[in-house]
Amino acid sequence: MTTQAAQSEQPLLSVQNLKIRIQMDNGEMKAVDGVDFEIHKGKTLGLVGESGCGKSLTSRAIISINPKECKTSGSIVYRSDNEASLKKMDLLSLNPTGKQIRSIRGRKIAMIFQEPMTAFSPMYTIGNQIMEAIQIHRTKNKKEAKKIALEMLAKVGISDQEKRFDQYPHEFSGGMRQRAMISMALSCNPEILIADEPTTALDVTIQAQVLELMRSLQAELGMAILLVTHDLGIIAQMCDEVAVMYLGKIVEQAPVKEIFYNPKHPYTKGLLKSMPRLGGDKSKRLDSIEGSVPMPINMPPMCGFYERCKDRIEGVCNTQAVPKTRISDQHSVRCFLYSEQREGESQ
Amino acid sequence: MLQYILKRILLVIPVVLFISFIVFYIIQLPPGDYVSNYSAKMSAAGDVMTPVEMDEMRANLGLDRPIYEQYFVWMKKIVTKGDFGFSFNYNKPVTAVIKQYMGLTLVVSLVTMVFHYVVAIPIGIYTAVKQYTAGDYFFSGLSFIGMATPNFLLAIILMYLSYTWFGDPLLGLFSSEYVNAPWSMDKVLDLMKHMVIPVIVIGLASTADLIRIMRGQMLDELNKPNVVTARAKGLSEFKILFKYPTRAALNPIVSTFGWSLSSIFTGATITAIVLNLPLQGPVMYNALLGQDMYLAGSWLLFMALLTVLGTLISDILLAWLDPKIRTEFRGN
Ligand SMILES: Nc1ncnc2c1ncn2[C@@H]1O[C@H](COP(=O)(O)OP(=O)(O)OP(=O)(O)O)[C@@H](O)[C@H]1O
Ligand code: SF4
Ligand SMILES: [Mg+2]
Repeated sequence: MTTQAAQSEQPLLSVQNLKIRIQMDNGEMKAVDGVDFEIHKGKTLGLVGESGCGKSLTSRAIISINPKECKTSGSIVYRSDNEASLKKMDLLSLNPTGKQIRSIRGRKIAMIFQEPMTAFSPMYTIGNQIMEAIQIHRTKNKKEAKKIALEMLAKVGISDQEKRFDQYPHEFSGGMRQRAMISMALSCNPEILIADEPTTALDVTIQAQVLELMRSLQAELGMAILLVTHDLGIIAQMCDEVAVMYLGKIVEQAPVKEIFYNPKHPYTKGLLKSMPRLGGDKSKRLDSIEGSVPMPINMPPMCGFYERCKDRIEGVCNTQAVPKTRISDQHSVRCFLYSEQREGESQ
Repeated sequence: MLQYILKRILLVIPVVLFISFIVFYIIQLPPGDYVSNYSAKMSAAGDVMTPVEMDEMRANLGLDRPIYEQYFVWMKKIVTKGDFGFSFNYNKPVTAVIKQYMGLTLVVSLVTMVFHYVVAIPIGIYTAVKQYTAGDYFFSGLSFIGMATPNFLLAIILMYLSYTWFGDPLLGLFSSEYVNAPWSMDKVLDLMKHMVIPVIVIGLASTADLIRIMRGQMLDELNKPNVVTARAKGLSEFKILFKYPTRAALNPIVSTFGWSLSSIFTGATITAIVLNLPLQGPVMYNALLGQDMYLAGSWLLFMALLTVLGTLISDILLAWLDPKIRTEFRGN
C-alpha cells in the first residue's frame, strides 16, 4: 500500500487504531493511544522512542501477551503468507488464552526479549526451553525436536551444541543467551519476528554481532522483523521503515532514509540531533531533549510533545488532538506545523 | 554430588555427639535430681526417705558419679548395645517407652505434614493466580485467622464443636473400645476419625504460614519475564503455570522440608496435652519435670538428630533442585 513492494502484496500484519488503557490509582492511563502500522513480508519495521512511550506494550499486544490489566482495543489483522487455513484474522478478537492465538504465537509470530537472562527460566536447560516451542508447533517426537534445536543452535553460531544444549542459562554469557533466544524464536520458521530491544542488555561488540546475526538470518529465512529500540543507530543499520513513537502515539512514520534525511516532527529532529556521530559513543543518546515526558493520564486533547517542543504554536498545539498529515504517500507525521487541519479552519 | 552428600553425612556424627553432651549437661543442671524429686513425692505420700536411703538409691542408679562419666557410660551403651538407659518414671527401659509412643507420634506428624503441604500449596497457587479476587481474600483472611489462633484454643473449640455435632469430643487417638484392641480395619478408621482434630490443630498455623509463603513466591514468579517468554512460545496457561512459576516457587519450600520435620514433631506438645493424645510430647514434658534424665536425654537426642537430619535433607534437596548449585558440582 505504501512502499513499492507492498503495493503488489498485502501486509502480513496490519495494526489499526491500537489503544491500550491501564487503570491507575489516579485515573486511566492511555499508554498506547491510536497506533497504526503495517508489517510487510521480509521487511524490517523499526519502532523507536523513549523509555515508557509504549513500545513494549504495542509489540506484545500483537500476540496478546500483555498482562490482564492492559485493556486493549483496535484491530490487528494478520494475513498468513503461506498457510491457507490462516486466512485474514483479527488477532485482537481472539481469546488471549485460547488455542487459535497460541497456534500463532511462536509458530507464525515469534518474539525475543531484552533481558535474555530473565527471559529464560533458570530452572531448565537451554535445550529444554528451545525444544518446547518445537514440540508445541512442529513435532511431538522428542528426538526430532532435539535435532531441530541443535541445528538452530548451530545456525545462530553456537559451537559445541550438544554440550550447550544441556547447559543452564547461567552457564551462558549474555551474548550467547541472546543467540539462544534467537534460535528459540526462529525454531519454528515464523513469518514475523518481534524483537523488543534485543541488544540493549549487551555490550557494544556483542550488540553488533547479534544484529548482524539477525540480518543474515532474515536474508536466509525471509521473515519480517518488528524491531523495538530506542537506538537510532540500530534503526539506521537494520530497518526499512521507521515509526517514531512518543507518549503512546506514532508521531512520524517513513522509510528509513526519509527519517534520517528529511525528518519533519520536532521530536524526530531532536532524536536525530542527540544521536552520536558515526563511530561515536553509543551508550549516550536520546536524553538530550529537554524536559520530561508527562504521564498520559487525564490529558486534555493536545500534542503530547507540547511541553518540550521549541516550535509549539500556543492556542493550537495545546487545545486539540493532532491529526495525522501525509507528507508523501510513504511519509506521515502528527504535528500542526504540517497540518492544514486546525481549529476554525476547514479540512 | 555423591561425595558432597557423604561428607555431609559424616559431619552429622560429631555434631550429634556434641549436641548430645550439651543436652545431657543441661538436663542435670536444675537443682536436685531424680532421687530428690522421688523422695519429695514419697514424703508427700507420707513415706519419708532417709539421706542414707537416698544415697543408696543414687548409687544404684549411678547418679553419684561425675557427670562426664555418666554421659560416657550412657553413650557407650547407646552405641554398643542400642540401650538408651532406664526410665525411672516408667520403670522401663527408655527404648520401650519411646517405642510405645513413637509409632503414633510418627503417624500423626506425617499425616500433619502431608496435610500441611497438600492443603497449603494448592491454596497458595490459587490465591496468587486469582490475586485480589473474592477467593483470594477468603483464603488470605482464613490463613490470618489460622495463624493468630492459639493451638489450645482451637483444640478446645473443635472439641466442643465435635461434641455438640457428633456427641463425642473425640479426645485421644482411639475410642475406649479400641485402645487395647489389636489392629483392625475398624481400629484404623477409628484412628483416622480421631486424627482429624489433632491434625487440623497441629497443622493449622504452619499451613496458614505456608499458604502465605507460597502465595508470595508465586506472585513473584508469575511476574517474571520467563513466564512471558513461555506465553510467547504458544504454551497453554495451564502448562506455563506448572512448568515455570510453580516449579520455581516450590524450590525454597521443598528445600526447607527438612526443617519443618522437627518443628511439626515438637510443635504438638501442648495440643497433645489438651487433646489427651498418647504422643511423645507430654511424655517428654513429664520426663523433664521429673528429671527422668535418660528418657529426657534420649528424647532430646532424638530431636537433635531429627533436626540435623532435616537440615541435611534440606541441603541435599537444595543442591539437587537448584541448577546453579548442581552445575557447580558437575563443574568440579
Ligand atoms: N502492567 C502495567 N501496569 C501499569 N503500567 C504499565 C504496565 N505495563 C506498562 N506500563 C506503563 O506503560 C507505559 C509504557 O510501557 P512500555 O513497557 O510499553 O514502555 P517502553 O516504550 O517499552 O519503554 P522501555 O524502553 O523502558 O522498555 C510505561 O509508562 C509503563 O510504566
Ligand atoms: S504539534 Fe505543535 S507542539 Fe506538537 S510537535 Fe508539532 S509544533 Fe510541537
Ligand atoms: Mg520496553
